[in-house]
Amino acid sequence: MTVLDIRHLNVSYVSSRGIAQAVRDLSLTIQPSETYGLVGESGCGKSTVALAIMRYLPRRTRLDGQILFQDADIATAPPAVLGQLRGNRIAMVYQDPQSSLNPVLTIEKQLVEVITAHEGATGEDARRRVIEMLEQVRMPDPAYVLQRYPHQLSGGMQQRVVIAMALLLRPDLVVMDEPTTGLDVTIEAGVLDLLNDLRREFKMAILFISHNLGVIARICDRVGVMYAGELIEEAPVRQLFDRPHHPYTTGLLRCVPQAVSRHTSGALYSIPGRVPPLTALPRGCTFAARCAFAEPGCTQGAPQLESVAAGHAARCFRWRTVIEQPAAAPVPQPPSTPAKSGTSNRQALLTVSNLKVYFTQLMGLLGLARSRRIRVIDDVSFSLEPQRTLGIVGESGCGKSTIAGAVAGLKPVTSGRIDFGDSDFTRPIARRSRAALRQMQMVFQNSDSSLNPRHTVEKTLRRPLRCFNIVPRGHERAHIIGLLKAVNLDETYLDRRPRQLSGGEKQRVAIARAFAGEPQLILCDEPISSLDVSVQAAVLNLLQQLQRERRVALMFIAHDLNVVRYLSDEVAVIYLGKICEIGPAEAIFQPPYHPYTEALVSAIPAIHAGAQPHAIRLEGSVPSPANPPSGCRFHTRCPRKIGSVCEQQEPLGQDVGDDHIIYCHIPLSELRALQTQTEAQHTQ
Amino acid sequence: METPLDQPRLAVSSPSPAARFLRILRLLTKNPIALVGALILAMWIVLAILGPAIAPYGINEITAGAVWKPPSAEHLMGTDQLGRDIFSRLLVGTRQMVILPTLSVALAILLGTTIGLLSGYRGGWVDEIVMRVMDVMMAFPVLMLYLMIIVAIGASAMNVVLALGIGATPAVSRLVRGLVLDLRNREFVAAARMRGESTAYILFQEILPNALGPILVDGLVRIGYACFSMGALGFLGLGVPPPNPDWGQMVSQARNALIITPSAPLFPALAIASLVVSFNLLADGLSEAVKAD
Amino acid sequence: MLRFILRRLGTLLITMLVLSILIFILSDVMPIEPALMILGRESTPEARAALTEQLGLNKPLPERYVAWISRFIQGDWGESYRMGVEVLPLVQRRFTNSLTLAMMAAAIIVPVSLLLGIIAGLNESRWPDRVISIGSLISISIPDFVVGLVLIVLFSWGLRILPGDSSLRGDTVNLMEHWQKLVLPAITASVVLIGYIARVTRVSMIEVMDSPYIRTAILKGLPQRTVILRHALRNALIAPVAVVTTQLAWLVGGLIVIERLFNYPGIGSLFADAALRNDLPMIQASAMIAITLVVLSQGLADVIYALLNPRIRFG
Repeated sequence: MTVLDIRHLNVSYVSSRGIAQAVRDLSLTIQPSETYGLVGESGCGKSTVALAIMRYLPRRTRLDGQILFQDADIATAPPAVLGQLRGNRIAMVYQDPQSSLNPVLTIEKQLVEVITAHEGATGEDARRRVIEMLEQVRMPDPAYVLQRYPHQLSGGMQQRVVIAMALLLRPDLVVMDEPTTGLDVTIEAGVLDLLNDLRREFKMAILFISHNLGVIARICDRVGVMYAGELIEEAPVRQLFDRPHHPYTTGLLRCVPQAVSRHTSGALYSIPGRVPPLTALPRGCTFAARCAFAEPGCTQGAPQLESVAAGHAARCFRWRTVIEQPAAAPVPQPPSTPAKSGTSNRQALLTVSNLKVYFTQLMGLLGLARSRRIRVIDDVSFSLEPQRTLGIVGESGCGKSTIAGAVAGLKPVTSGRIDFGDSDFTRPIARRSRAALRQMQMVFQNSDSSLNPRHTVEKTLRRPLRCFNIVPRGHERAHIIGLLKAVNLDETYLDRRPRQLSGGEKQRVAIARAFAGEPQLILCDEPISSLDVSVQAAVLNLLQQLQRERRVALMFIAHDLNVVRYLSDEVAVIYLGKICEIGPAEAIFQPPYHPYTEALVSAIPAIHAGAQPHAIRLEGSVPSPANPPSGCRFHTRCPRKIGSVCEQQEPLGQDVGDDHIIYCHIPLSELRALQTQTEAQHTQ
Repeated sequence: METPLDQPRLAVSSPSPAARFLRILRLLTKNPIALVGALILAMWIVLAILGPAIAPYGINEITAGAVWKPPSAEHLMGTDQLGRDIFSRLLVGTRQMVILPTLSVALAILLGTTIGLLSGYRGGWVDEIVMRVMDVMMAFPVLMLYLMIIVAIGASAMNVVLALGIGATPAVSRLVRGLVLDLRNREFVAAARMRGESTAYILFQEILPNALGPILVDGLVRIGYACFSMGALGFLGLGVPPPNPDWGQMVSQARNALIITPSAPLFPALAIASLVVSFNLLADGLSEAVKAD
Repeated sequence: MLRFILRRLGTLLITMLVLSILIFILSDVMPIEPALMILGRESTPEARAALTEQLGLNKPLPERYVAWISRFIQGDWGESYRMGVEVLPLVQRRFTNSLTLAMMAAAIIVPVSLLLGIIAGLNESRWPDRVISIGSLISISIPDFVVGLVLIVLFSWGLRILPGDSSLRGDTVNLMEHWQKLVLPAITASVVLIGYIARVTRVSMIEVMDSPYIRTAILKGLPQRTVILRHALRNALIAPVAVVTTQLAWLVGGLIVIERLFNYPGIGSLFADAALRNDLPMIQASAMIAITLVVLSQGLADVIYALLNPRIRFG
């Protein structure tokens, strides 16, 4: 018996700006104990589907079609029926657990009330069931957690609470809307493992929504791909990833770097253009304008979802051509950066030695009472040669952005040295010369706040030219147009303001601004993490192309291991303010690893079958940098901890060769043996 | 939740601030509440300009034997305790009631924005101390502060502006500081710093333009409150001293005649109320329009 | 929680201290010559100089401040220049009267404004919201003396059901005996703040109802009543309580006008009279008491704020 049967669902949002057709003619079914993945970029309508199933939509929304669940049609059900279904037969898990939990109620109250509302049970009985459920979601110390308020729990624990809340009454269907998106990769891996176990234990049906193909691949049985409000392809998970039939699916799968380096794979595949606005959709196929296979006929009639194989459907006129000739592979580029020098015959461009950045947090009145020191960066050293790329990777809060801030002079250095060429860059911005400032520019994380909303693109790009005297005043405009062309924009953008640009366009302008002063080093602080997958590839391509043409070095900071691996020549892995492993990119991603790197690599959800690395999972959450663990900072979570030496002594670097250094107490040979062994076990 | 409506709107492409102003003005006219406010305010501004010219009587012109007369064809709003025409005094008093509160808020914005910008951008202990002082000032009942300042420096048009301006400064600087604290951590400010821009450029070109909208909307509300307070000062007998007619003072004097002619205090009272209402309606509509923009 | 209260108390003390300095400086620049006020116009310049010397008024400002504040703390508040009475007992009496009036106003403001704000917030853009929004906008725009006058004309002169003059013969208020005299002033003091707090509550309620945790509560299948009473209300009250803190000074300032309008013998009218008649000790004492009232109620609001918001209690 089908659990959920959606037939011809249409949802549109009505506003003064027009009617946005968020979901169009969507039909799908979910069987008992099946996990159905819905994947797509932001604005494709996948969350609207989730909210329509819960019948939780803004007041001015048009909804038609049928959402059949058990005996009811949710699309037309009266409030009383909805009240009985929600939280009881259908439950939901949300993207941001922190804001999904009521900040002023204890966890106990928020969990118990679900049982009370639907079954009338209260008191000890309900409390016992809640504790049991928390144990089932592997929550450490449930009795303690019950007395806490949401803000007192870590992100991973909050999400476990939300999952427990959804599963309390053993619903038939759980809708999960990006349940791991805000979490760090090692935490995400743990939650995904948990979900995989729970879906077997509870035999429930799951609608799993995500933009992350790797996550979908890890957890789903069947997958639907959405684009601009339509389901454009649907297939069993392996089938979809191995033999995609829709050009958009093909593009999505190809534009994410997968455990490769640019030196071997060349530029990334990218999908040109962007998602059409839902208020003004084009005629015919909505993807035609971005499609390499499009013919004039594609824009005439709208394609229907047609069956292309058993259980596999695609909404494309030309799917036969698509599977015959997967778009010509992009031409691999020659290695874009000079090989690393041997000994010291090349001078490093940037040398950071023993960098420490401590923040002082004032507490109490005027900070008189007491203050505490937060060791954000604690003794970090590395160097970067001209025109090469250093990747810095780590989870949120590890201090990687602070390193960039300190190098840029935006954050004061507590101790240590930063040398750039021959000049001392330890000092803050105010005490660096114009000439020194010009050498180093930055591309920021948040495309929304990296450009001044009140400045036009022209003004944004003119300032660096003025400040660094790049061209005479009369030539500024021509030069700016040249810069825009270099980032694949044109002069029609000159008068636009940031709110008239898409995320990708904003980031292009920000990149143009960084290159405008003709620097030697560009610091990139998570430059693509706020962008959609299909746009990320284009921005990464642009960055490496400009790097090659303009001969700059990049310091590339990211949490995404695959992106760092793709772009970097050298990589430093940071944990809690310290480097745990540093070396050539390819060496970092092969055993022997630092146990933390090993866990990170193992946590990445991979798209391709068989590419899933062996499972190493970390316990607990990252300790506070205000009170870091003694000895090796990673010992509290390390799965390979060898004993008290880890707690007492800070590990020294072990040289693997080729400037690859691992800071760990475990001897290299042992580490290598352990890690190749586990890897072998898991590939069998 | 996804916001499918947040697609960049390429259709609306009006880059210059003047065009933005016009667009907001257009949005305003679509908002009936704001429109009413704008019309009332426009009326008072016109009367502030023309008042003395169209007043039927001089402000100190005494009609013999006409003390506390109710409204009549001769005296539209009746007469006061000396037999002066209330309508004429109201008209002539408009100018100071419109100009002085506006000036005082201009002063408060000038002082408050300077303090808020510097304190918020510098941060650290300077900010801590400045903001503590502002907090403390805000715990001082405003009217009490005005009265003490005016007793200390004497009542005159300029001193009323000074007192109202100083009294409103802490709130403005708190607002500006809050905006600056948010804006100074934006990445475009970091980019400006990395270009070596001067603090003045960062404050006035990067930060202030983004804070201006909320400051001006708040300013409108504040002009309303300044009218409110100026009325109260006049009512307490510490407003702008004679011979200029002060609405608050007119209310206060006429209140003794409530039994004889209840309408006498109501005219100036309603005049103050309608002026304040117009500022509040306008500010309300403007903040909606800026939000929608 | 105890630590929180103690910390707040420390802040309050500092606030009081700084305010007392401000009051002292302001009253010091007032063109009032104490010796002249005490001895009268007929006194000789020599006698005045001697008294000035005796009162220590030639000493530098910080020294005079310390002397003044320490006398003040010990309860020696001096004698009125104009009324020839001890300041302390008079101010105490008037303070009780004002406190009674303020409490009565608060008893009206808090339930009415929160209720209106919540109703408007729950009905965003529908007619109850439109009526309340426009009504509150108008109510915050009408000066309190105008409201008071209209009320007097209506209820005292028109309907003749409530007194328009609230003067008290014994200068001491008795709630049972005088409640009728308190009604109109209390309503007058409430109007502006009801509008203001209702507006803040409305916005806060709308934001809360739109928040992910309310979505969670609804999608748990909880009944509407539980969603609003248990999940929304407490969160929606956090913002108005924070705002009330900043408006208490406004309320106390408003008392000056209202007490004068109704001839009510409170601290506000005492202050206004003193200010108009250059009665320096009375100005200082009544200002100090008024700010004490503000600061203490701010402290109270802070504690309520922390009780509502566990993020403050358990940082």
